[in-house]
Formats: sequence, C-alpha cells, structure tokens
Amino acid sequence: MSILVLNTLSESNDEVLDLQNQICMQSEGSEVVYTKEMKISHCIGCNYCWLKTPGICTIKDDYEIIFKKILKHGKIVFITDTKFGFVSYQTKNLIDRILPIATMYLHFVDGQMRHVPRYDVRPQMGIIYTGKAEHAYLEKWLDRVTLNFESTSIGVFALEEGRGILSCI
Amino acid sequence: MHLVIINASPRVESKSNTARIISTFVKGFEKSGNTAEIWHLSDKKQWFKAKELYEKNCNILFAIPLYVECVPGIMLEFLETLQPKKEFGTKMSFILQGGFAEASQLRCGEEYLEILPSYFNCEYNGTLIKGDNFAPAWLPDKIANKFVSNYEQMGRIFAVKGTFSKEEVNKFAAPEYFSEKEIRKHKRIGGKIQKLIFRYISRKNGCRKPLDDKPYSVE
Repeated sequence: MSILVLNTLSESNDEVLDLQNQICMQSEGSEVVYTKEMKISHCIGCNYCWLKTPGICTIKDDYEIIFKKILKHGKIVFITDTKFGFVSYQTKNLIDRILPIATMYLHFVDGQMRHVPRYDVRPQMGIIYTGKAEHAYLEKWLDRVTLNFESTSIGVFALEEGRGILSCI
Repeated sequence: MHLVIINASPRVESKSNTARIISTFVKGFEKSGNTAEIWHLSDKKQWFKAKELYEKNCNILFAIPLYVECVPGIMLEFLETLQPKKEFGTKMSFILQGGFAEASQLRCGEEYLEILPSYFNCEYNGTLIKGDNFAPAWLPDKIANKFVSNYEQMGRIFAVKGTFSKEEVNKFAAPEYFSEKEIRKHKRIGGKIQKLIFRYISRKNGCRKPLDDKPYSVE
C-alpha cells in the first residue's frame, strides 16, 4: 500500500526531508506533495459534494489534485506545523476538504451514526508535527477523524520522534 | 453583559445554520437587557472588526459548526490573527453544533475548546453543544426556525448564569447515544426515509446524479 505524504510546512529542514524520504522508501509508488505553494481554500460548508454534485467539490482549486491522490494511496501522512496545540489551518483545510470521500447517506457503525463511504478506499492517516502540540488530544482527534472514514490512525508523532512512524506504516 | 459573538462558520450568513442558531440564542440572551453583536468569519471584510472587538471586550463567544471532529480551518486561520490577552479575565464561551444527532459526536470538538482559551490567556466559560442541526439550511425558513427554537431558552439561561453549565448542556444536547431500539428502528425504516429526503433535496437543487456517484476512479 503506497503512502501519500502531504507536507504543509511553511519551511522544510533536512530532518523533515530525510524523514519524508524514509517514509516513501517504505512502499513503492509513494510520493510527497508540498502544499505551501498550492492554492487550497478552506471548506465552505456548502454540502454540494453531498447533495448537488455528488463526490465533487464545488471549489475549483488545487485540492482536486490532492483528492485524486488520496484515492490512489492507501495511507496519508500529514507533516504539519502546530498552532494552539493543534494542527495548522493549512492541514485542517486539507482534512476538512476530504468530505467528498463520503456520501450523504447515513448508517450506524458500532452504535454511532456515520456517513456511508463513497469509494472502497479507507485511507489510514498519520501526523508528524513540528512545534508544541496537545499530543494526547491530537491522538484522540486523529482516532476520531479516521473513525469517520471507517479507517484507522497510523499515529501522531513529534518531528523529533518522527522515525517512530516507520514501524507503524 | 455585552457579548461579542463570532460566527466561525465558513458558510455564507444567509445559508449558515450557525447564524440561525446565533440569532435565536441572542433573542433569549437580550430579553433581560443584555446586548450582543455578531460578526461572521465567512465574510473576510469582517475579520478586522472581529479582531478589534476581541481585543477590547471581555465576553467573547465563538459559535462553531463541527468540521471533521473539531473547529473548521477558517476559524484556525482567524485565530492566527489574534494575540493572547495581556491581562487574564476575558471569558471565552462556545456554541458548538453539528449534523449528527448524538451529543457524543461533539465531545472531541468540545474537548479542544476546553483547551483553546488558555492559548489566549482567556478563561474557559463553557460550551453549549448540540447535534441534529444539518437540516435547517435546506428547509423553508418557517420550519428551519422551529428546528433551532430551543436555543432561545439557552440564551436566556446564559444571560442569567453568565456561563454554560455542564448539567444543563448535557440535558440540552441529549441523547448522548441512540438506544439499541432507536438504532434498530433507523435500520428498519428511518434510514430509508432519510434517503428519500436526501434524494428529494438533491433533485430540488438540480442534481441528476445518484448521491453515491463515484466521479473519480480508484486505482
């Protein structure tokens, strides 16, 4: 299963570049996308991807490139700055915009309501962050995020301990 | 009390469920002589004023739609424009609303909001959570207003107590989970009715594709 590394950092140092390479070496066909120079809006919450143009985001920007890659790779690793203990808004925008991967239809999974997935893919997700984070909260949040897409978390790692992700993917 | 309310929904005001909730909440809040003003982050021209009012006021309320288990990206971007308060004492309150009906779906977002004020040297002043708020934007005004009418009472209570108490919020946000009986009922009939409603809404909005269409290929 190939890995998509989404690097939203404002600056990538040697440590980041080295870790990215090692992640990509884990699986053939893996790739890194730097989103810093890409034009990616926040989700505007129009719900058109569910109710008007099923599966297609109404915002025409560079996110479509990323969305297609998300469908192609089985695993996604976000490399992100942190703000207020959480991921940066650039990273949150990438995750908010993933909604077309699910349909409007609802069903119950383990006693909670979930959206029925649109595709057969269930991308696993991991986070590597720089700066200070509410680490325990981020782990819990990523568990919940992936639960929504009927997937699982690869884990959350501070950059200094980023090599830990290699044994999880 | 004067309350500065910041609507963190990225959806335009006229279609924002959060905006509708805020207006109803404010009706109740202002009954006892309090005042409130509302600013919308969906309109970037309002960011400067919202920032300025955050700096000058000590009662701030963010009203937020839950986006993938936490606050939407647009709110995080706005927060980057704010500085921590020099003096402690500003109260930061929250209204967090979502589409799924169970309160348990909002708990992860609520947990982050409990942490967030500390990054701005502000005091956490409670979060009013509630789900089942997906429909109003797609309904005629009269029915949509009924959906959110119970927020008026919560506005009244907030005016009197000055905070959201956990006990009252939990009552307001119930059910935490659906019972097994309710889940069985949904599987039997509720899900089918929901599908018909979604299809009706989509057709009305000009959609001719099935809602589970797969426009992109998966390798």
